[in-house]
Amino acid sequence: MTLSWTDAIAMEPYADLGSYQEPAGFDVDFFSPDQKSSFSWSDMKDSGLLDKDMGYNFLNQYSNPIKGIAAGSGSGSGSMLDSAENEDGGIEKITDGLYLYNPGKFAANYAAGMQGGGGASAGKPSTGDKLKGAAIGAISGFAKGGPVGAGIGALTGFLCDMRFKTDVSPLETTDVNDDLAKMAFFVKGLRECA
Amino acid sequence: MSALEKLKQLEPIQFRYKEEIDPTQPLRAGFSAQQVQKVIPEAVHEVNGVLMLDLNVLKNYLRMAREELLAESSRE
Repeated sequence: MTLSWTDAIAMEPYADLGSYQEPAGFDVDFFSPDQKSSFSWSDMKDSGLLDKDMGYNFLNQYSNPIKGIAAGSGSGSGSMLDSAENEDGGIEKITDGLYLYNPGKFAANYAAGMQGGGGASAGKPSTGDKLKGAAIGAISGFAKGGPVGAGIGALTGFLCDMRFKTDVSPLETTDVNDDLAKMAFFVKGLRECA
Repeated sequence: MSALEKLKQLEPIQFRYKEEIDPTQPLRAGFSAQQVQKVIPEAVHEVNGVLMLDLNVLKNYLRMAREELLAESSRE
């Protein structure tokens, strides 16, 4: 049977279009199904696809990561906790005689070191102390993340301006083993190995 | 120029701060901000007319250099 527009308009309002048939699958009683899912969590766990301790507690995923992620990380054990520890900094041996300083703690160390700094008001306009005051003000302002708008990230500023230094010579030794000194000795090692 | 090459161009120095900056004047190790500025300008900020070394930038250079060194050592 084919219908045209004119047929549709002229058609009886209750035309017989045949008997209604339920679509397949609609005969299931959803409230008391006679079939159960073939999926089994215990089978899934026994298959080894899931970490047996997964979900044991929240922190477990950090100290004992899901196997797939750990295998794909390509560095260390793959634990998120391990990578966080690496961010903390330390000395890492690259080759014999060449060690790399990982400056992960620079920001915190510097922030602590800057606590003794004076405020911007310490910058006196008198001739002798002008530069010193500017330095102290700069450090203070820098430590507060102000002048360069660098925020918290700007905590790692070192006063390396040559105008504040005396007895300058190529690096041989130091009395202060701070982060800057470690970096300087590392660069010295790089230059000597080159 | 690679991060490793840039780091090698830095000239580590030993120095003392002038007495008005640090009265105890211990011998320190570090860099000259003026010299670093020539090699890695983004690592030096001028704040109130004073040159400050931004260790965040140098830290990133160290990390990049570390990766280059590890890549070199893995090739050998």
